[in-house]
Amino acid sequence: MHDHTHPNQPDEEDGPFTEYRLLEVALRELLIEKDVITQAELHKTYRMMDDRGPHNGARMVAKAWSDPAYLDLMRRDATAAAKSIGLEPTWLNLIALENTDAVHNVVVCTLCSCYPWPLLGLPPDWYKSRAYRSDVVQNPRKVLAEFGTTLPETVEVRVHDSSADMRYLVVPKRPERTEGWSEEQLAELVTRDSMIGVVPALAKEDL
Amino acid sequence: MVSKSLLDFRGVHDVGGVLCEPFAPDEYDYEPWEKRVHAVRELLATKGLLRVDELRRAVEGLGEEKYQRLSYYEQWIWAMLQIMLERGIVTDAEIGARVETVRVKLASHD
Repeated sequence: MHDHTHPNQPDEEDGPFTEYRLLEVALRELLIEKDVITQAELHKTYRMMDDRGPHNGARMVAKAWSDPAYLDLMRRDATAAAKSIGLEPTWLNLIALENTDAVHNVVVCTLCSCYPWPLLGLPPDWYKSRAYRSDVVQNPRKVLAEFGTTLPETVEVRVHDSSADMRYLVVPKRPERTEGWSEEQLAELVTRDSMIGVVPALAKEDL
Repeated sequence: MVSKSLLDFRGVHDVGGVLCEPFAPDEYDYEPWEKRVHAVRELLATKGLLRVDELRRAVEGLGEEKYQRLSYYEQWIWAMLQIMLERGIVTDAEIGARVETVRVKLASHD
């Protein structure tokens, strides 16, 4: 542990300094020196990134479970639904995908990593992996089984391929025996992976 | 299965339905340097200095060997640098010199 600070020293939890790590420091320093970006703007961006996470998407899902008018808005214009509760994604074309007894939706970006990150935070590593991107469009049930999700053959599985211009948020099925729960309580049941569509929402017993 | 003839026309990034290693979900925490790359990219985008299609063009132009070898944020920082060079915001000479300065500075800390 160092006993003094160095502004340009990458954090200690970073791995070994690869050429690309050096490039990150070099490019960032140059952009700041040239006043293309400022340190203050960077810190503001870090804070914004920290505020993003599945708790945002979970608020939307819990509200959709509770409020038929909000569910209707989400079906028509999910971007407007996000904005209406003060969430950030002004630039997103967002589509909500409702899971039902008949249809299960799962989301991928086969080309890269498009993801509704203002609502879910940064994507998990597996979402960006070649294996997930390649396999889920071909063998969705097999991939879902890797997450412990087994669906009856009678349920149709739909795989949605995101793009730079179009992002998806899965609305999982509302868990049983949660009648009368507040939106805050319901949101606790809504996980990141359930909004990607690889698992259901948590059950009451899971809390 | 997608036919071979169609696969021949694909970019290296276009992997939907392509046979590859079996999928296994793994979790991992973003390293701080990766978050910094993400933040700088976002800031440049906000300022209209880096469009998402520019970044993707650069990533997809990495070539197969480099695309497979580089991690996600290694691809990004490399692509971001290409766009900054194209736009004349930084020069080859500046970045080359700065990388060496950073290398020396970091090495002297150990």
